[in-house]
Amino acid sequence: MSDYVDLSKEKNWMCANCNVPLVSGKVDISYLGNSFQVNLLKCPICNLVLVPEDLALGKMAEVEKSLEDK
Amino acid sequence: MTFTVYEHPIWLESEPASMHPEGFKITERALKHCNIDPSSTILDVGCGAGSTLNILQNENNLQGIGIDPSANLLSYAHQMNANIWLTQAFAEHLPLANESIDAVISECTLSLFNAKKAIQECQRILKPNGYFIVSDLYARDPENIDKLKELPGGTSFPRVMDQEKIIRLIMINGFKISIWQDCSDALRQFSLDKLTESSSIDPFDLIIRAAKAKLGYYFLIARKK
Repeated sequence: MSDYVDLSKEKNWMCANCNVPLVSGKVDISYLGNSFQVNLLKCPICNLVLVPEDLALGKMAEVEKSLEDK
Repeated sequence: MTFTVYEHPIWLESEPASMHPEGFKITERALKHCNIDPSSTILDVGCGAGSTLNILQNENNLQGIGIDPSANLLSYAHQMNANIWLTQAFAEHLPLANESIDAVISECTLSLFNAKKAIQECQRILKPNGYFIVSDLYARDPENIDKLKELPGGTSFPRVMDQEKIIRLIMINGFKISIWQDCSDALRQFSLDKLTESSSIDPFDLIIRAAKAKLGYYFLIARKK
């Protein structure tokens, strides 16, 4: 499974709602019916997911653009 | 232990049809169209763990035989069903006599082999008017087919062809095409998890490249002239 958690950059993130540190965990991502899992930081209580800026503005943005072009 | 992508245990642990987009629906559609006689000999090229051969035998009363390069998968197929003739071989060198087979099924495997040599071998072993039933990935945007070639080997992606090339290869090697059908919607339900888990492919990269090449899925039936 692809891992998008960089603990050296992201170890201090806390969930603002639950006030607990985010932990690495499996997250389901789905695009137009195709789904897959990656490791991202998320809140162990409410499951709020942190999508790192690099991923959001990089591969995720590129996927969305590719699918729009399709 | 290291595995090639399709030998990875994740495929064997799941539903037998999970390797094939649309499961066995395309196989069933092909068998219905071809109306194959129960006395026929059907070869599954790249039979893997033998799931299609079991469907032929158990649900269609047809006797299939299988070849696959993977000793691991053949061993698994034999454990599942000891009543099927299986042998380790590549599609480019089929250990079968000329004009000895009534139908060849190639499900998601043509692009794993050297397609030209595999088609020529299938033509050699098929009886006249024999059926060549193929389903596989194809690029619906030939101009961006190179995006798939950059994906890791051991999967079909680097050898995916476009429709024109597939049809040309089949026709110049002694077949006439009876049916070509686009089944690309089947890819929407296909499990990317298993593919990315069993390979080193990054799922985002796969979706980006597949979208650029307009990756699709086809089903065709050709008959030997």
